[in-house]
Amino acid sequence: MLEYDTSWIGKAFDRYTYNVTKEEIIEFAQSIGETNPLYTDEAYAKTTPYGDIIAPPTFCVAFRSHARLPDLKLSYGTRGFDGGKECVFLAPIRPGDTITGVDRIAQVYEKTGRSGNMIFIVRESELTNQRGEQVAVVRQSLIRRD
Amino acid sequence: MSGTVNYFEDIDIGDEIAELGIRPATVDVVRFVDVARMQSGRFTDDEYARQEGLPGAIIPGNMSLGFLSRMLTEFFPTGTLKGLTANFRATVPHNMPLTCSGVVTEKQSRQGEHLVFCDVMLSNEEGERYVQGTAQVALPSRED
Repeated sequence: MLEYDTSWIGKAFDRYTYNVTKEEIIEFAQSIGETNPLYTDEAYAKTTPYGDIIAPPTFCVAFRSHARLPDLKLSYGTRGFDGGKECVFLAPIRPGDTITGVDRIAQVYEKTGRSGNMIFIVRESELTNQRGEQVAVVRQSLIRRD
Repeated sequence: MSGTVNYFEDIDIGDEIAELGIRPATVDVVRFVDVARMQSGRFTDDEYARQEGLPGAIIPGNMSLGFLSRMLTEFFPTGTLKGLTANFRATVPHNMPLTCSGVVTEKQSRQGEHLVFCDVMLSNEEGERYVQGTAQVALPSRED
Protein backbone atom coordinates (compact mmCIF):
# COMPACT_ATOMS: atom_id res chain seq x y z
CA MET A 1 0.00 0.00 0.00
CA LEU A 2 1.23 3.46 -0.93
CA GLU A 3 2.51 5.68 1.82
CA TYR A 4 4.27 8.98 1.26
CA ASP A 5 4.91 12.43 2.67
CA THR A 6 1.68 14.23 1.73
CA SER A 7 3.00 17.60 2.91
CA TRP A 8 4.61 18.09 -0.51
CA ILE A 9 1.31 18.12 -2.43
CA GLY A 10 0.80 21.54 -3.99
CA LYS A 11 4.03 22.90 -2.56
CA ALA A 12 6.65 24.41 -4.87
CA PHE A 13 9.92 22.51 -4.69
CA ASP A 14 11.84 24.24 -7.47
CA ARG A 15 11.91 27.80 -8.83
CA TYR A 16 14.15 28.70 -11.74
CA THR A 17 14.66 31.16 -14.54
CA TYR A 18 16.26 30.82 -17.92
CA ASN A 19 17.00 33.24 -20.70
CA VAL A 20 15.89 32.12 -24.13
CA THR A 21 18.30 32.73 -26.97
CA LYS A 22 17.68 32.66 -30.70
CA GLU A 23 20.44 30.10 -31.07
CA GLU A 24 18.80 27.71 -28.59
CA ILE A 25 15.46 27.97 -30.37
CA ILE A 26 17.02 27.22 -33.75
CA GLU A 27 19.13 24.35 -32.36
CA PHE A 28 16.10 22.82 -30.66
CA ALA A 29 13.98 23.12 -33.81
CA GLN A 30 16.71 21.53 -35.89
CA SER A 31 17.18 18.71 -33.38
CA ILE A 32 13.64 17.47 -34.03
CA GLY A 33 13.83 18.19 -37.75
CA GLU A 34 11.35 21.07 -37.80
CA THR A 35 10.70 22.29 -41.34
CA ASN A 36 8.45 25.23 -40.44
CA PRO A 37 10.63 28.33 -41.11
CA LEU A 38 8.82 30.19 -38.34
CA TYR A 39 11.17 28.42 -35.94
CA THR A 40 14.44 28.79 -37.81
CA ASP A 41 14.35 31.49 -40.50
CA GLU A 42 14.51 35.06 -39.19
CA ALA A 43 13.80 36.62 -42.60
CA TYR A 44 10.68 34.50 -43.03
CA ALA A 45 9.54 35.02 -39.46
CA LYS A 46 9.69 38.79 -39.92
CA THR A 47 6.94 38.47 -42.57
CA THR A 48 4.59 36.74 -40.09
CA PRO A 49 2.43 38.30 -37.38
CA TYR A 50 5.04 37.14 -34.84
CA GLY A 51 7.69 39.45 -36.32
CA ASP A 52 10.53 37.12 -35.31
CA ILE A 53 11.15 33.42 -34.85
CA ILE A 54 9.35 31.73 -31.99
CA ALA A 55 10.16 28.50 -30.19
CA PRO A 56 8.50 25.25 -31.32
CA PRO A 57 5.74 24.39 -28.83
CA THR A 58 7.60 21.63 -27.01
CA PHE A 59 10.69 23.79 -26.45
CA CYS A 60 9.22 24.73 -23.08
CA VAL A 61 8.84 21.08 -22.12
CA ALA A 62 12.47 20.28 -22.75
CA PHE A 63 13.75 23.42 -21.10
CA ARG A 64 11.96 22.99 -17.79
CA SER A 65 14.06 22.29 -14.74
CA HIS A 66 15.49 18.81 -14.51
CA ALA A 67 15.90 19.14 -10.75
CA ARG A 68 15.23 16.01 -8.79
CA LEU A 69 11.94 15.57 -7.01
CA PRO A 70 11.87 16.15 -3.27
CA ASP A 71 12.07 13.06 -1.10
CA LEU A 72 8.45 12.00 -0.89
CA LYS A 73 9.36 9.09 1.41
CA LEU A 74 7.56 6.67 -0.88
CA SER A 75 6.91 3.28 0.67
CA TYR A 76 8.14 1.62 -2.55
CA GLY A 77 9.26 2.49 -6.07
CA THR A 78 12.99 2.29 -6.56
CA ARG A 79 12.85 2.53 -10.37
CA GLY A 80 11.44 5.49 -12.22
CA PHE A 81 10.47 6.43 -15.77
CA ASP A 82 8.50 9.05 -17.68
CA GLY A 83 4.87 8.01 -18.06
CA GLY A 84 3.64 10.94 -20.10
CA LYS A 85 3.00 14.64 -20.40
CA GLU A 86 0.06 17.00 -20.58
CA CYS A 87 1.01 20.35 -22.07
CA VAL A 88 -1.05 23.51 -22.38
CA PHE A 89 0.58 26.14 -24.58
CA LEU A 90 -0.66 29.61 -23.72
CA ALA A 91 1.69 32.09 -25.39
CA PRO A 92 4.67 31.89 -27.75
CA ILE A 93 8.21 31.86 -26.38
CA ARG A 94 10.47 34.34 -28.15
CA PRO A 95 14.20 35.03 -28.27
CA GLY A 96 15.17 37.28 -25.38
CA ASP A 97 12.40 36.03 -23.12
CA THR A 98 13.22 35.27 -19.52
CA ILE A 99 11.13 32.33 -18.43
CA THR A 100 10.41 31.70 -14.79
CA GLY A 101 9.35 28.21 -13.81
CA VAL A 102 7.74 26.94 -10.66
CA ASP A 103 7.51 23.18 -10.15
CA ARG A 104 5.10 21.50 -7.76
CA ILE A 105 3.97 18.00 -6.89
CA ALA A 106 0.37 18.14 -8.10
CA GLN A 107 -0.73 14.61 -7.32
CA VAL A 108 0.49 11.22 -6.14
CA TYR A 109 -1.56 8.10 -6.72
CA GLU A 110 -1.24 4.37 -7.11
CA LYS A 111 -2.35 2.05 -9.90
CA THR A 112 -2.15 -1.68 -10.35
CA GLY A 113 -1.08 -2.82 -13.80
CA ARG A 114 -0.06 -6.10 -15.41
CA SER A 115 3.40 -5.75 -13.93
CA GLY A 116 2.18 -4.95 -10.41
CA ASN A 117 1.70 -1.78 -8.41
CA MET A 118 2.95 1.54 -9.70
CA ILE A 119 3.09 5.01 -8.20
CA PHE A 120 2.24 7.99 -10.39
CA ILE A 121 3.79 11.28 -9.34
CA VAL A 122 2.43 14.27 -11.25
CA ARG A 123 4.95 17.09 -11.49
CA GLU A 124 3.42 20.37 -12.62
CA SER A 125 5.55 23.12 -14.11
CA GLU A 126 4.09 26.60 -14.54
CA LEU A 127 6.12 28.74 -16.91
CA THR A 128 5.77 32.54 -17.05
CA ASN A 129 7.61 35.12 -19.12
CA GLN A 130 9.11 38.45 -18.04
CA ARG A 131 5.84 40.25 -18.87
CA GLY A 132 3.97 38.11 -16.38
CA GLU A 133 2.23 36.10 -19.10
CA GLN A 134 1.84 32.41 -18.41
CA VAL A 135 3.36 30.70 -21.45
CA ALA A 136 2.74 27.04 -20.63
CA VAL A 137 1.71 24.53 -18.03
CA VAL A 138 3.28 21.09 -18.24
CA ARG A 139 2.13 18.13 -16.16
CA GLN A 140 4.52 15.21 -16.24
CA SER A 141 3.53 11.78 -14.89
CA LEU A 142 6.53 10.05 -13.39
CA ILE A 143 6.01 6.37 -12.75
CA ARG A 144 7.82 4.62 -9.92
CA ARG A 145 7.85 0.92 -9.19
CA ASP A 146 10.13 -1.74 -7.74
CA MET B 1 -4.95 13.49 -46.03
CA SER B 2 -1.81 14.64 -47.71
CA GLY B 3 -0.46 18.17 -47.87
CA THR B 4 -1.42 20.84 -45.40
CA VAL B 5 -4.56 22.44 -43.97
CA ASN B 6 -4.73 26.19 -43.38
CA TYR B 7 -8.37 26.87 -42.50
CA PHE B 8 -10.84 25.45 -40.02
CA GLU B 9 -13.37 24.84 -42.81
CA ASP B 10 -10.93 22.63 -44.72
CA ILE B 11 -10.76 19.79 -42.19
CA ASP B 12 -13.47 17.47 -40.90
CA ILE B 13 -13.94 14.95 -38.16
CA GLY B 14 -12.41 11.65 -39.27
CA ASP B 15 -9.81 13.27 -41.52
CA GLU B 16 -6.32 11.91 -41.07
CA ILE B 17 -3.31 14.12 -40.48
CA ALA B 18 -0.51 13.63 -42.99
CA GLU B 19 1.86 11.09 -41.48
CA LEU B 20 5.39 12.04 -40.51
CA GLY B 21 7.91 9.28 -41.13
CA ILE B 22 11.15 9.48 -39.17
CA ARG B 23 14.09 7.28 -38.30
CA PRO B 24 15.96 8.87 -35.39
CA ALA B 25 19.53 7.60 -35.36
CA THR B 26 21.70 7.55 -32.26
CA VAL B 27 23.52 10.65 -33.51
CA ASP B 28 20.16 12.47 -33.65
CA VAL B 29 19.34 11.49 -30.07
CA VAL B 30 22.79 12.58 -28.90
CA ARG B 31 22.19 15.96 -30.52
CA PHE B 32 18.73 16.31 -28.97
CA VAL B 33 19.79 15.48 -25.42
CA ASP B 34 22.71 17.87 -25.77
CA VAL B 35 20.48 20.72 -26.95
CA ALA B 36 17.74 19.95 -24.41
CA ARG B 37 20.25 19.48 -21.59
CA MET B 38 18.93 16.09 -20.60
CA GLN B 39 22.09 14.04 -20.76
CA SER B 40 21.58 10.56 -19.37
CA GLY B 41 23.18 7.31 -20.38
CA ARG B 42 19.75 5.77 -20.78
CA PHE B 43 19.29 7.87 -23.92
CA THR B 44 22.67 7.42 -25.54
CA ASP B 45 24.51 4.41 -24.09
CA ASP B 46 23.18 0.88 -24.70
CA GLU B 47 25.20 -0.65 -21.87
CA TYR B 48 24.12 1.98 -19.36
CA ALA B 49 20.50 1.58 -20.44
CA ARG B 50 20.68 -2.22 -20.03
CA GLN B 51 21.95 -1.76 -16.49
CA GLU B 52 18.76 0.22 -15.85
CA GLY B 53 16.69 -2.70 -17.11
CA LEU B 54 15.99 -1.22 -20.53
CA PRO B 55 16.50 -3.16 -23.78
CA GLY B 56 19.01 -0.54 -24.97
CA ALA B 57 19.33 3.22 -25.30
CA ILE B 58 15.94 4.86 -25.80
CA ILE B 59 14.55 8.02 -27.35
CA PRO B 60 13.61 10.59 -24.67
CA GLY B 61 9.90 11.19 -24.16
CA ASN B 62 10.47 14.89 -24.83
CA MET B 63 11.89 14.03 -28.26
CA SER B 64 8.86 11.86 -29.09
CA LEU B 65 6.66 14.74 -27.98
CA GLY B 66 8.64 17.02 -30.28
CA PHE B 67 8.02 14.74 -33.26
CA LEU B 68 4.27 14.72 -32.61
CA SER B 69 4.30 18.50 -32.33
CA ARG B 70 6.28 18.72 -35.57
CA MET B 71 3.72 16.57 -37.41
CA LEU B 72 0.94 18.88 -36.26
CA THR B 73 2.68 22.18 -37.01
CA GLU B 74 3.72 20.93 -40.46
CA PHE B 75 0.19 19.79 -41.29
CA PHE B 76 -1.46 22.93 -39.85
CA PRO B 77 1.12 25.60 -40.84
CA THR B 78 -1.23 28.48 -40.00
CA GLY B 79 -2.43 26.83 -36.80
CA THR B 80 -1.42 27.26 -33.19
CA LEU B 81 -0.85 24.19 -31.08
CA LYS B 82 -2.80 24.83 -27.88
CA GLY B 83 -2.46 21.50 -26.12
CA LEU B 84 -0.68 18.19 -26.45
CA THR B 85 -0.86 15.11 -24.26
CA ALA B 86 1.19 11.97 -24.62
CA ASN B 87 1.20 8.68 -22.77
CA PHE B 88 4.48 6.86 -23.14
CA ARG B 89 3.27 3.27 -23.48
CA ALA B 90 6.60 1.66 -24.32
CA THR B 91 10.22 2.68 -24.68
CA VAL B 92 11.17 3.90 -28.16
CA PRO B 93 14.39 2.44 -29.61
CA HIS B 94 16.91 4.23 -31.79
CA ASN B 95 17.53 3.54 -35.48
CA MET B 96 14.04 2.26 -36.26
CA PRO B 97 11.49 3.58 -38.77
CA LEU B 98 8.74 5.37 -36.87
CA THR B 99 5.53 7.03 -37.94
CA CYS B 100 3.70 9.91 -36.33
CA SER B 101 0.04 9.89 -37.28
CA GLY B 102 -3.25 11.34 -36.18
CA VAL B 103 -6.94 11.72 -36.85
CA VAL B 104 -9.40 14.54 -36.20
CA THR B 105 -11.92 13.61 -33.52
CA GLU B 106 -13.76 16.88 -32.85
CA LYS B 107 -14.16 20.46 -34.06
CA GLN B 108 -15.43 23.37 -32.01
CA SER B 109 -15.76 27.11 -32.43
CA ARG B 110 -15.93 28.89 -29.11
CA GLN B 111 -15.02 32.30 -27.74
CA GLY B 112 -13.63 33.35 -31.10
CA GLU B 113 -11.36 30.32 -31.42
CA HIS B 114 -11.72 27.55 -33.96
CA LEU B 115 -10.33 24.38 -32.43
CA VAL B 116 -9.54 21.04 -33.97
CA PHE B 117 -9.13 18.08 -31.61
CA CYS B 118 -7.00 15.14 -32.69
CA ASP B 119 -5.85 11.75 -31.51
CA VAL B 120 -2.13 11.36 -32.20
CA MET B 121 0.30 8.49 -31.95
CA LEU B 122 3.86 7.38 -32.59
CA SER B 123 4.19 3.80 -33.80
CA ASN B 124 6.56 1.43 -35.53
CA GLU B 125 6.21 -0.35 -38.87
CA GLU B 126 4.30 -3.19 -37.21
CA GLY B 127 1.76 -0.72 -35.86
CA GLU B 128 2.91 -1.04 -32.25
CA ARG B 129 2.03 2.20 -30.50
CA TYR B 130 4.86 3.62 -28.44
CA VAL B 131 3.19 6.94 -27.69
CA GLN B 132 -0.48 7.80 -27.75
CA GLY B 133 -2.05 11.14 -27.04
CA THR B 134 -4.30 13.99 -28.01
CA ALA B 135 -3.84 17.47 -29.41
CA GLN B 136 -5.76 20.72 -29.78
CA VAL B 137 -4.96 23.08 -32.64
CA ALA B 138 -6.48 26.52 -33.21
CA LEU B 139 -6.96 27.39 -36.87
CA PRO B 140 -7.99 30.58 -38.66
CA SER B 141 -11.45 30.60 -40.18
CA ARG B 142 -12.39 31.99 -43.58
CA GLU B 143 -15.32 33.68 -41.84
CA ASP B 144 -13.12 35.77 -39.54
